[in-house]
Amino acid sequence: MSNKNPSSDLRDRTIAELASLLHAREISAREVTETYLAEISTRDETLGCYLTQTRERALAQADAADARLSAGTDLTPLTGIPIALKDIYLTEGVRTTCASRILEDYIATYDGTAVAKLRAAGTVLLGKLNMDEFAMGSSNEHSAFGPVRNPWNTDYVPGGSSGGSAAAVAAGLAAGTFGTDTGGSIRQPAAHCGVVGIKPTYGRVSRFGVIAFASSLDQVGPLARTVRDAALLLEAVAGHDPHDATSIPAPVPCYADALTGDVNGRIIGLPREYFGEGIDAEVVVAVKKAAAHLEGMGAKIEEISLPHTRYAVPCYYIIAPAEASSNLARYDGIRYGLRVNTGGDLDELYEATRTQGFGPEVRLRIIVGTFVLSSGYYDAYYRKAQQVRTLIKEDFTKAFERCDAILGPVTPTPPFKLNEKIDDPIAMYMSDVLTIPTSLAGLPGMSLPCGISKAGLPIGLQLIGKPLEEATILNIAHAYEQSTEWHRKVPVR
Amino acid sequence: MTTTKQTDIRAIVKRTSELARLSLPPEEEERFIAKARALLDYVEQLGELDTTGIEPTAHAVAFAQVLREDVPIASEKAATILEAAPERDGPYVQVPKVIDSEQ
Amino acid sequence: MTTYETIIGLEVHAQLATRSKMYCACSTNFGDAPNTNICPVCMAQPGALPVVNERAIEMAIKAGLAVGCAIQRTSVFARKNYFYPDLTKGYQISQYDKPLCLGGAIEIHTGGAIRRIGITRIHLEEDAGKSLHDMGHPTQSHIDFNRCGMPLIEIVSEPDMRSPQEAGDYLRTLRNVLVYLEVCEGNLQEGNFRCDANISIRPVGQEKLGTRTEMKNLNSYRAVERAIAFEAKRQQEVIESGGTIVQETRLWNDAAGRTEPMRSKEEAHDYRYFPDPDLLPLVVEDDWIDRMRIGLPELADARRARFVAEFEIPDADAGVLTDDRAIADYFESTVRAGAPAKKAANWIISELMREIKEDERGIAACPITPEHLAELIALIEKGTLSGKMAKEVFAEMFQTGTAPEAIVEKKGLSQVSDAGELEAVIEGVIADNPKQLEQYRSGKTAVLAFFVGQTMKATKGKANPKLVNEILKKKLGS
Ligand SMILES: [Mg+2]
Ligand SMILES: [Zn+2]
Repeated sequence: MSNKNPSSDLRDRTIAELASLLHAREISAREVTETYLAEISTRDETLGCYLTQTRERALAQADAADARLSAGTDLTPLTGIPIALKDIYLTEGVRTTCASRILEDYIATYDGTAVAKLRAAGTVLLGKLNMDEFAMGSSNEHSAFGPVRNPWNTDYVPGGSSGGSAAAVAAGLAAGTFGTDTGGSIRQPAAHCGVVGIKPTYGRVSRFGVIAFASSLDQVGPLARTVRDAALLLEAVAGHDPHDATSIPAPVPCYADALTGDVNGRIIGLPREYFGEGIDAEVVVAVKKAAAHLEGMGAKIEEISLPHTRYAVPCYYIIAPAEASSNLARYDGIRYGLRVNTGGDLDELYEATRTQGFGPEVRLRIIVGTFVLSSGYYDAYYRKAQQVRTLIKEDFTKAFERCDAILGPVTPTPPFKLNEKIDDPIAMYMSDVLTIPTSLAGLPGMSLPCGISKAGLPIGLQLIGKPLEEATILNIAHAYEQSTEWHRKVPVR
Repeated sequence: MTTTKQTDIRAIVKRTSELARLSLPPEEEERFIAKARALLDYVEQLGELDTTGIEPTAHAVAFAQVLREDVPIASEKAATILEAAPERDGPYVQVPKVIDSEQ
Repeated sequence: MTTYETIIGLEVHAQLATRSKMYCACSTNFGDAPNTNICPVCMAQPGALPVVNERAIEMAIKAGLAVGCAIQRTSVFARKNYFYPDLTKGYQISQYDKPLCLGGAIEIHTGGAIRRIGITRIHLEEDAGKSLHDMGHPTQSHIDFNRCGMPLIEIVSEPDMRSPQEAGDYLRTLRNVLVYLEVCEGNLQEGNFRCDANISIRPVGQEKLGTRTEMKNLNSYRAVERAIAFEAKRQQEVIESGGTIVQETRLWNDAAGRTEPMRSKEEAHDYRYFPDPDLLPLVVEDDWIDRMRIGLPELADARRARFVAEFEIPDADAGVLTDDRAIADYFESTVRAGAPAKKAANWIISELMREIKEDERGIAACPITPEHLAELIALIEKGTLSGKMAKEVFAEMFQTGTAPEAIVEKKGLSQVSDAGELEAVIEGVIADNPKQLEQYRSGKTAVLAFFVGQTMKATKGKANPKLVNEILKKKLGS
């Protein structure tokens, strides 16, 4: 661990800082981009964050950004900022694998909406980031192309499924990144890597052009070093999209403007269930300390209850696999991607392609998901889970009658080691026990650093907001962040 | 709640893998079945909850869906999309011969 | 011996006449080069999402209203999961337990009676691509995805039909309704009006339904009628020989004239319907339904009644005319152009419809405008043309699309209706035939026909027969 000092090293600059340097023409986008590309060259082999590097394109985009910056027209806070995307985002003309053999050589045929917005904003794309295959996992060990390692200690997992996105930010291999979160896939790795990550309200950001895992849960969101950076990235992609019928037709506030640092009188609920059995003592202490800190800043802390919390994980492991089993039916070897032609009939082609193309975790979830939807079991499993989802959602609705935000840990434990949970799916799934409820309820949730474990690994703080109230939790997070030192702590390079 | 305890997990895995067009490599089978059993046993704890009369939630958000105007747009991507197909014959995508049609 | 009755229910898939597909903006144009109307959405590229075509919903609402369905304020799109190479996503987005339209009926004129056929439901869904099995490759099929994602409504009837003819009449009536509404082009050849039939038989008097089989690949009304007749007979033979009917899907083999079991494992299907998480429930507000209701055109049955009342033509003729919206429009235009309704109806039914009978384009293939037909009728009324001459002119009009006046002029077909001119001819005829004159005057008035014939001969058939009669009677009597 080292404390970041204000230095001239471009790798240590936040997006907000880079933006003012770029706009003042004190640095060029090419300089920044080259700095990051060099860093990736020297350090990513150990960490495994990038599945594809788009070096030439990055330099071309940097030059285009410099032209824009020189002209002083068409500028956004992200013009010339080098970012990277989880390899679940379709990027036209660039390989998009979802960390799966079945898409190993797939070149995306179009840009997703978020990608198009980021491109239009003038960002520079450094490359595509490693993840758990089809976003199914909590450790990034389920990537078909090898794991990502935690930059704080390479024996440990970075979390998942957006493991590459979190590790790249923590290691300084991108100024900011984007991930996706279905049951905690942004927040959990953000916590494990000591960075800021936000999963917005379901429907806040378009899912068009983001490979679907579980469509009623998937959300796009950024990972960054500071809350302000996360706010800038989120604002760039948020908003209604006519290509996504589930995207919310509501205006997008200026998130950066909401960062006043004033939390006076804010009522923050601490769910009893988030501090009980199964939650590591170190985590409880760190998070409670953070709550006390906010109380010291004028927030009102109240204990609340989310009684159905313990049913969220089983509920999720019916709904998410069910949707996934259908979403992944399109990978059949006919129109794109891997095709294993055995010379036999069509069914053999399907089976060989899908069995060889999907990894074991993906196959497990497809089979479980197929089962819970199948004739005779639908009501007992799928419909039941949807009813439980209603109960979980109602827990939050009640809590938010009193609170402005909910605060708790992101994960029950600090990061675990590689291979520690790989053969025990339930133990692995439990690492999302505190993020899944928010996903099922479609609420915005975020993670920010609030401590370091005795083993020297980050601990995350989770804030949950009302629907479309990203600004509220971003501001509380910002207030906490700016009055503490955790965001200055970075892993040793 | 109908539970898988009453049913053979092997039969379930066999039947569902056929439906999902997946096969189980023999060397993986035991591990796979153990995981599937663990997962299905685990999710069955929802049976503890009485959900009589509770409306199911399919979506966490509630707003009126935005529809699309009926305006055709020529797809610029048609050729690229077609080229992505692993096997083609002229302007067609080619597959092992299929018999009988579906609706 | 037991007498059986056949119980028939039909599932119709009608392609909606939208300009773009159901869930994406690709064109619905028929006959474009293969795989050109495709995009990331209908080709199920990773990450692509469906967005519902508003016009398709409107058309489905109209269809529902026209057959008396209750339009559901909330309906749900569901995924029907199965693998097939022309189904790109691995599921079809359809509607399942919450369809848009529920409970309606249509009345059909069949076998001289009116029967009411219940409509169970109408729901929205999408078509699949087209698999071509005969592209000269023994082991490969070829797929054109242009059709993939075309908007369809599926109209499910109650098992209310009892004979192949009733089924055929139901289909004709239903097609007619959809074409009147302009929600479907109703072109069987292009496959935008397709039908599957569920058939079972039971002893007359028994209430419980027998096991049904589902018939697919019915590409014409005739195929539907033949397949039903065949299948009812087959089922009866199975039962009478002590067998049981297996619930299965069978394909109609039109060339062989029989139904055959499908070779795929039907029992392996489990569609695992569930609400499509990419689409929110479809909410249809009352004012939207009201707007659709106000915009409904007059349908065939109402128009038929109006034709009888307004134009005083026989119900049977009104039935024939309104059976096809385009013909009914043609008829009204002809009347509006000044033709007496009864005459217009006769000409259209007996001459015009005969000419276009073989042409699948229907009335659109007719080069005669309603205005020209009205002119032709006026020429007969005026006495310029005899009925026989008019048919000759009509034939020429149908060939060339020329106005009747021009044809009359060109061919010098105008009949002699000048009384003075005719009187002179007739006086000559009488003078030439004194014997017949004697006979007439002695009371054998039947000999009048002889004089008419002679007069026509003398005028080369151009004399106005009505006038000839009048003048002859006057001259012969004096
Ligand atoms: Mg259907
Ligand atoms: Zn399309």
